[in-house]
Amino acid sequence: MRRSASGAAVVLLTGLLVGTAANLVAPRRIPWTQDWTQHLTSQAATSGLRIVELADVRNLVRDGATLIFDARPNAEYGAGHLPGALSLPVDDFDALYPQFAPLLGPSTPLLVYCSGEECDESLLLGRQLHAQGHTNILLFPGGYGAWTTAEGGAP
Amino acid sequence: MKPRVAVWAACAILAAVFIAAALPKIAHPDAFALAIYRHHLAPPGLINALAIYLPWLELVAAIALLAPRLRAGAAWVILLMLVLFTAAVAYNVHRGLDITCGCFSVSSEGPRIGWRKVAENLGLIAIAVFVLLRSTALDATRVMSPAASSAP
Repeated sequence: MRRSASGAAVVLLTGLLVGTAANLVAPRRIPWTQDWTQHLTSQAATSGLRIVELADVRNLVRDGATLIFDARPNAEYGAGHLPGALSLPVDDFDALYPQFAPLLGPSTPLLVYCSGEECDESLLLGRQLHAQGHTNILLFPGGYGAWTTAEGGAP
Repeated sequence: MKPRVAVWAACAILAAVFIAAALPKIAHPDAFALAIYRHHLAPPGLINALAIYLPWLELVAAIALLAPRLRAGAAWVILLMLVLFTAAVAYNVHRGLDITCGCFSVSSEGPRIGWRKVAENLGLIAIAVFVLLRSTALDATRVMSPAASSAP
Protein backbone atom coordinates (compact mmCIF):
# COMPACT_ATOMS: atom_id res chain seq x y z
CA MET A 1 0.00 0.00 0.00
CA ARG A 2 2.88 2.33 0.87
CA ARG A 3 4.43 1.54 -2.50
CA SER A 4 1.15 2.39 -4.27
CA ALA A 5 0.92 5.71 -2.45
CA SER A 6 4.51 6.67 -3.20
CA GLY A 7 4.08 5.61 -6.84
CA ALA A 8 0.94 7.69 -7.16
CA ALA A 9 2.71 10.67 -5.55
CA VAL A 10 5.60 10.36 -8.02
CA VAL A 11 3.15 10.27 -10.95
CA LEU A 12 1.16 13.27 -9.69
CA LEU A 13 4.23 15.39 -8.90
CA THR A 14 5.89 14.57 -12.20
CA GLY A 15 2.69 15.42 -14.07
CA LEU A 16 2.46 18.75 -12.25
CA LEU A 17 6.11 19.62 -12.84
CA VAL A 18 6.14 18.66 -16.52
CA GLY A 19 2.78 20.35 -17.12
CA THR A 20 4.04 23.56 -15.52
CA ALA A 21 7.29 23.47 -17.48
CA ALA A 22 5.48 22.74 -20.75
CA ASN A 23 3.09 25.63 -20.31
CA LEU A 24 5.98 27.97 -19.59
CA VAL A 25 7.89 27.17 -22.77
CA ALA A 26 5.44 25.61 -25.27
CA PRO A 27 4.60 27.77 -28.31
CA ARG A 28 0.87 27.01 -27.82
CA ARG A 29 0.82 27.81 -24.09
CA ILE A 30 -2.42 29.13 -22.62
CA PRO A 31 -3.09 31.52 -19.72
CA TRP A 32 -3.06 29.81 -16.31
CA THR A 33 -6.51 31.20 -15.67
CA GLN A 34 -9.08 32.73 -17.97
CA ASP A 35 -12.49 34.27 -17.45
CA TRP A 36 -14.62 31.64 -19.15
CA THR A 37 -17.77 33.32 -17.87
CA GLN A 38 -17.14 36.04 -20.52
CA HIS A 39 -16.44 33.52 -23.28
CA LEU A 40 -19.86 33.93 -24.85
CA THR A 41 -19.88 37.73 -24.82
CA SER A 42 -16.41 38.19 -26.29
CA GLN A 43 -16.92 35.57 -29.00
CA ALA A 44 -20.34 36.99 -29.93
CA ALA A 45 -18.84 40.41 -30.61
CA THR A 46 -16.38 38.94 -33.10
CA SER A 47 -19.09 36.83 -34.77
CA GLY A 48 -21.42 39.65 -35.77
CA LEU A 49 -23.98 38.98 -33.03
CA ARG A 50 -25.45 41.62 -30.74
CA ILE A 51 -25.71 40.99 -27.02
CA VAL A 52 -29.04 41.66 -25.30
CA GLU A 53 -29.80 41.60 -21.60
CA LEU A 54 -32.80 40.40 -19.64
CA ALA A 55 -34.73 43.68 -19.80
CA ASP A 56 -34.38 43.75 -23.61
CA VAL A 57 -35.47 40.12 -23.84
CA ARG A 58 -38.60 40.87 -21.80
CA ASN A 59 -39.53 43.58 -24.32
CA LEU A 60 -38.78 41.34 -27.29
CA VAL A 61 -40.94 38.55 -25.84
CA ARG A 62 -43.76 41.05 -25.21
CA ASP A 63 -43.55 42.61 -28.69
CA GLY A 64 -43.57 39.25 -30.48
CA ALA A 65 -41.78 40.63 -33.55
CA THR A 66 -38.59 38.69 -32.89
CA LEU A 67 -38.25 34.99 -33.61
CA ILE A 68 -36.72 33.32 -30.58
CA PHE A 69 -34.61 30.18 -31.01
CA ASP A 70 -33.65 27.86 -28.16
CA ALA A 71 -30.28 26.30 -29.04
CA ARG A 72 -30.33 23.67 -26.28
CA PRO A 73 -30.99 19.96 -26.85
CA ASN A 74 -34.64 19.16 -27.40
CA ALA A 75 -35.04 17.49 -24.00
CA GLU A 76 -33.97 20.67 -22.20
CA TYR A 77 -36.28 22.75 -24.38
CA GLY A 78 -39.12 20.37 -23.50
CA ALA A 79 -38.46 20.88 -19.80
CA GLY A 80 -38.97 24.63 -20.16
CA HIS A 81 -38.18 27.50 -22.48
CA LEU A 82 -38.72 31.22 -23.09
CA PRO A 83 -42.30 32.14 -24.09
CA GLY A 84 -42.79 31.67 -27.82
CA ALA A 85 -39.35 30.18 -28.35
CA LEU A 86 -38.81 27.60 -31.08
CA SER A 87 -36.47 24.66 -30.60
CA LEU A 88 -33.47 24.72 -32.92
CA PRO A 89 -30.71 22.63 -31.29
CA VAL A 90 -27.43 23.70 -32.81
CA ASP A 91 -26.43 20.10 -33.52
CA ASP A 92 -29.61 19.54 -35.55
CA PHE A 93 -29.22 22.79 -37.47
CA ASP A 94 -28.72 21.25 -40.91
CA ALA A 95 -31.79 19.07 -40.53
CA LEU A 96 -34.13 21.66 -38.96
CA TYR A 97 -33.13 24.98 -40.52
CA PRO A 98 -34.88 24.31 -43.86
CA GLN A 99 -38.20 24.13 -41.97
CA PHE A 100 -37.67 27.64 -40.60
CA ALA A 101 -35.96 29.23 -43.59
CA PRO A 102 -39.20 30.26 -45.42
CA LEU A 103 -40.23 32.25 -42.31
CA LEU A 104 -37.00 34.17 -42.10
CA GLY A 105 -35.86 37.14 -44.13
CA PRO A 106 -32.23 38.30 -44.04
CA SER A 107 -33.05 41.14 -41.63
CA THR A 108 -35.69 39.35 -39.54
CA PRO A 109 -34.73 39.85 -35.90
CA LEU A 110 -33.66 36.54 -34.39
CA LEU A 111 -32.88 35.92 -30.73
CA VAL A 112 -30.79 32.92 -29.72
CA TYR A 113 -30.15 31.58 -26.24
CA CYS A 114 -29.06 28.46 -24.38
CA SER A 115 -28.76 27.59 -20.66
CA GLY A 116 -26.70 30.55 -19.55
CA GLU A 117 -23.23 32.07 -19.41
CA GLU A 118 -21.61 28.65 -19.11
CA CYS A 119 -22.95 27.28 -22.42
CA ASP A 120 -22.07 28.21 -25.98
CA GLU A 121 -24.79 26.53 -28.06
CA SER A 122 -26.42 29.95 -28.58
CA LEU A 123 -23.15 31.33 -29.94
CA LEU A 124 -22.73 28.37 -32.30
CA LEU A 125 -26.36 28.66 -33.45
CA GLY A 126 -25.94 32.42 -33.97
CA ARG A 127 -22.86 31.78 -36.12
CA GLN A 128 -24.76 29.18 -38.17
CA LEU A 129 -27.62 31.64 -38.76
CA HIS A 130 -25.13 34.37 -39.63
CA ALA A 131 -23.54 32.04 -42.16
CA GLN A 132 -26.98 31.61 -43.76
CA GLY A 133 -27.10 35.35 -44.42
CA HIS A 134 -29.06 36.58 -41.39
CA THR A 135 -27.82 39.95 -40.26
CA ASN A 136 -30.03 40.82 -37.29
CA ILE A 137 -29.10 38.20 -34.69
CA LEU A 138 -29.36 38.90 -30.98
CA LEU A 139 -27.72 36.70 -28.37
CA PHE A 140 -29.02 36.48 -24.80
CA PRO A 141 -26.01 35.32 -22.73
CA GLY A 142 -28.02 34.89 -19.52
CA GLY A 143 -30.14 32.32 -21.33
CA TYR A 144 -32.84 30.22 -19.81
CA GLY A 145 -31.11 30.27 -16.41
CA ALA A 146 -31.34 34.06 -16.11
CA TRP A 147 -34.90 34.03 -17.43
CA THR A 148 -36.16 31.46 -14.89
CA THR A 149 -34.35 33.21 -12.05
CA ALA A 150 -36.04 36.49 -12.95
CA GLU A 151 -39.43 35.14 -13.94
CA GLY A 152 -39.83 32.42 -11.34
CA GLY A 153 -39.40 29.48 -13.70
CA ALA A 154 -42.62 29.82 -15.71
CA PRO A 155 -42.12 27.92 -18.96
CA MET B 1 -2.14 -16.81 -19.92
CA LYS B 2 0.32 -16.39 -17.03
CA PRO B 3 -0.62 -13.67 -14.52
CA ARG B 4 2.46 -11.55 -15.23
CA VAL B 5 1.82 -11.69 -18.97
CA ALA B 6 -1.82 -10.73 -18.41
CA VAL B 7 -0.73 -7.75 -16.27
CA TRP B 8 1.76 -6.66 -18.93
CA ALA B 9 -0.87 -6.92 -21.65
CA ALA B 10 -3.37 -4.94 -19.58
CA CYS B 11 -0.75 -2.26 -18.85
CA ALA B 12 0.16 -2.05 -22.53
CA ILE B 13 -3.50 -1.52 -23.46
CA LEU B 14 -4.02 1.19 -20.82
CA ALA B 15 -0.73 2.90 -21.66
CA ALA B 16 -1.53 2.96 -25.38
CA VAL B 17 -5.00 4.39 -24.74
CA PHE B 18 -3.75 7.09 -22.38
CA ILE B 19 -0.80 8.09 -24.59
CA ALA B 20 -3.16 8.35 -27.58
CA ALA B 21 -5.51 10.45 -25.46
CA ALA B 22 -2.80 12.76 -24.10
CA LEU B 23 -0.91 13.74 -27.25
CA PRO B 24 -3.62 15.75 -29.10
CA LYS B 25 -4.46 17.61 -25.88
CA ILE B 26 -0.81 18.45 -25.25
CA ALA B 27 -0.51 19.72 -28.82
CA HIS B 28 -3.65 21.89 -28.56
CA PRO B 29 -4.27 22.99 -24.96
CA ASP B 30 -6.49 25.87 -26.12
CA ALA B 31 -8.84 23.52 -27.96
CA PHE B 32 -8.82 21.10 -25.02
CA ALA B 33 -9.79 23.95 -22.68
CA LEU B 34 -12.77 24.65 -24.96
CA ALA B 35 -13.68 20.94 -24.90
CA ILE B 36 -13.63 21.01 -21.08
CA TYR B 37 -15.74 24.18 -21.09
CA ARG B 38 -18.35 22.49 -23.32
CA HIS B 39 -18.86 19.77 -20.70
CA HIS B 40 -20.20 22.52 -18.41
CA LEU B 41 -18.94 20.75 -15.29
CA ALA B 42 -15.59 22.28 -14.30
CA PRO B 43 -15.53 25.56 -12.37
CA PRO B 44 -14.65 28.30 -14.91
CA GLY B 45 -11.55 29.29 -12.94
CA LEU B 46 -10.14 25.76 -13.15
CA ILE B 47 -10.71 25.06 -16.85
CA ASN B 48 -7.30 26.23 -18.06
CA ALA B 49 -5.46 24.49 -15.22
CA LEU B 50 -7.22 21.24 -16.10
CA ALA B 51 -6.35 21.74 -19.77
CA ILE B 52 -2.70 22.29 -18.87
CA TYR B 53 -2.20 19.48 -16.35
CA LEU B 54 -4.59 16.64 -17.23
CA PRO B 55 -2.88 15.64 -20.51
CA TRP B 56 0.54 15.52 -18.87
CA LEU B 57 -0.86 13.52 -15.98
CA GLU B 58 -2.32 11.07 -18.50
CA LEU B 59 1.01 10.78 -20.31
CA VAL B 60 3.13 10.41 -17.16
CA ALA B 61 0.73 7.85 -15.68
CA ALA B 62 0.71 5.86 -18.93
CA ILE B 63 4.52 5.71 -19.02
CA ALA B 64 4.70 4.91 -15.29
CA LEU B 65 2.41 1.91 -15.85
CA LEU B 66 5.26 0.31 -17.78
CA ALA B 67 7.66 0.66 -14.81
CA PRO B 68 7.02 -2.18 -12.33
CA ARG B 69 7.96 -0.11 -9.25
CA LEU B 70 5.48 2.66 -10.18
CA ARG B 71 2.78 0.45 -11.66
CA ALA B 72 0.39 0.26 -8.72
CA GLY B 73 0.57 4.00 -8.07
CA ALA B 74 0.06 4.78 -11.75
CA ALA B 75 -2.91 2.40 -11.84
CA TRP B 76 -4.50 4.30 -8.93
CA VAL B 77 -4.07 7.61 -10.76
CA ILE B 78 -5.44 6.17 -14.00
CA LEU B 79 -8.36 4.56 -12.20
CA LEU B 80 -9.22 7.86 -10.50
CA MET B 81 -9.11 9.74 -13.81
CA LEU B 82 -11.23 7.09 -15.56
CA VAL B 83 -13.88 7.20 -12.82
CA LEU B 84 -14.07 11.01 -13.02
CA PHE B 85 -14.16 11.03 -16.85
CA THR B 86 -16.81 8.31 -16.96
CA ALA B 87 -18.98 10.05 -14.38
CA ALA B 88 -18.73 13.32 -16.33
CA VAL B 89 -19.62 11.70 -19.65
CA ALA B 90 -22.47 9.67 -18.13
CA TYR B 91 -23.93 12.76 -16.47
CA ASN B 92 -23.76 14.75 -19.71
CA VAL B 93 -25.29 11.92 -21.76
CA HIS B 94 -28.03 11.66 -19.14
CA ARG B 95 -28.82 15.38 -19.36
CA GLY B 96 -28.77 15.30 -23.16
CA LEU B 97 -25.71 17.41 -23.99
CA ASP B 98 -24.75 16.79 -27.59
CA ILE B 99 -21.00 17.40 -27.45
CA THR B 100 -17.82 15.65 -28.44
CA CYS B 101 -15.95 13.86 -25.70
CA GLY B 102 -12.60 15.64 -25.95
CA CYS B 103 -11.07 12.26 -25.07
CA PHE B 104 -8.93 11.37 -28.10
CA SER B 105 -9.47 14.46 -30.20
CA VAL B 106 -9.99 18.07 -29.23
CA SER B 107 -11.97 18.93 -32.34
CA SER B 108 -15.54 20.09 -31.86
CA GLU B 109 -16.49 17.97 -34.89
CA GLY B 110 -16.76 14.21 -34.75
CA PRO B 111 -18.62 11.54 -32.78
CA ARG B 112 -20.79 12.75 -29.94
CA ILE B 113 -20.73 11.33 -26.42
CA GLY B 114 -23.17 8.52 -25.75
CA TRP B 115 -23.71 5.41 -23.67
CA ARG B 116 -21.25 3.57 -25.92
CA LYS B 117 -18.47 5.88 -24.70
CA VAL B 118 -19.54 5.19 -21.11
CA ALA B 119 -19.37 1.43 -21.81
CA GLU B 120 -15.89 1.77 -23.34
CA ASN B 121 -14.73 3.65 -20.26
CA LEU B 122 -16.22 1.00 -17.97
CA GLY B 123 -14.14 -1.57 -19.87
CA LEU B 124 -11.01 0.53 -19.24
CA ILE B 125 -11.95 0.82 -15.56
CA ALA B 126 -12.18 -2.99 -15.36
CA ILE B 127 -8.69 -3.27 -16.89
CA ALA B 128 -7.30 -0.67 -14.46
CA VAL B 129 -8.82 -2.49 -11.48
CA PHE B 130 -7.28 -5.75 -12.72
CA VAL B 131 -3.84 -4.10 -13.00
CA LEU B 132 -4.22 -2.56 -9.57
CA LEU B 133 -5.23 -5.81 -7.86
CA ARG B 134 -2.56 -7.90 -9.57
CA SER B 135 0.18 -5.30 -9.00
CA THR B 136 -0.71 -5.06 -5.34
CA ALA B 137 -0.70 -8.86 -5.05
CA LEU B 138 2.66 -9.13 -6.80
CA ASP B 139 4.10 -6.40 -4.56
CA ALA B 140 2.84 -8.31 -1.50
CA THR B 141 4.47 -11.49 -2.81
CA ARG B 142 7.78 -9.68 -3.16
CA VAL B 143 7.53 -8.35 0.40
CA MET B 144 6.65 -11.81 1.75
CA SER B 145 9.50 -13.55 -0.10
CA PRO B 146 12.15 -11.10 -1.26
CA ALA B 147 14.38 -14.00 -2.32
CA ALA B 148 11.73 -15.24 -4.73
CA SER B 149 11.40 -11.85 -6.38
CA SER B 150 15.17 -11.59 -6.88
CA ALA B 151 15.40 -15.10 -8.32
CA PRO B 152 16.09 -15.21 -12.07
